[in-house]
Amino acid sequence: MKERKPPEKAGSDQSMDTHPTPLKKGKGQAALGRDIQAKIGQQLRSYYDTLIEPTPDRFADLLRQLDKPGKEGAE
Amino acid sequence: MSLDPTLREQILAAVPSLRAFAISLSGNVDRADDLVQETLLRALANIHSFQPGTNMPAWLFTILRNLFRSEYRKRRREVEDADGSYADTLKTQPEQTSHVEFKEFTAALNKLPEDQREALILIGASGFSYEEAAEICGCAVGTIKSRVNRARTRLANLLHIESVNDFGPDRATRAVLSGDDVA
Repeated sequence: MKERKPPEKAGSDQSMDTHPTPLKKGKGQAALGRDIQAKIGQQLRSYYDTLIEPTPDRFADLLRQLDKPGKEGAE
Repeated sequence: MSLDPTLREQILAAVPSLRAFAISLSGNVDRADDLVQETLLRALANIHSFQPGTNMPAWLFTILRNLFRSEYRKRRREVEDADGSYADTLKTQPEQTSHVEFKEFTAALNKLPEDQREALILIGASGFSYEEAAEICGCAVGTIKSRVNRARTRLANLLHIESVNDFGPDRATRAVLSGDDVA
């Protein structure tokens, strides 16, 4: 009843001689294979990289403005 | 006020990642830019409390996160990007990842609870250590670890990543590997 065979090509994954999925030592149930972690990590960095842009000028300008000596009381 | 040039350099160097973090928290570029600006203002106003030689990025991330959290109690994420539509507006798509895959990933990421998403990003993308992330989030190191673990597990479920066979080689290669006839 609990058996969950992949619908296609049962057993094909066993016969593959690529790297097996190494499981992290079972601390709790959340042990993900290292390959899964790597995949998530890679996608996460891709996602983050798309958000990274060179510092927008407004922030450099802001720092420069705020940094003017004697401007402390301004505004 | 006059800012030590070294500190200014450190602050500016941290801005791109700080801004990326802000976007991932708020789901909104404009709002993220406001957050970064507010963060820089606060940082400069309190620069005397920053200890030179300590971790400038972590200090800035802490300020930004606190700002976001205090705002967040008032209003929820303005742009819910549950369908990952924000991904469409990004000009640079990462090369290693297909567009569909990328959209799915963004959508899944946005389904994570706030605290898990933030922990995962700090550790997995911003490059902080567990200790630094714990400091930024004002919680125990163990809490960060378990949030990151839960976040990874949830992402794996949402993305149906189950084994090495689910990704890696393209479909044709996989078909070959699994014995399908592709020729």
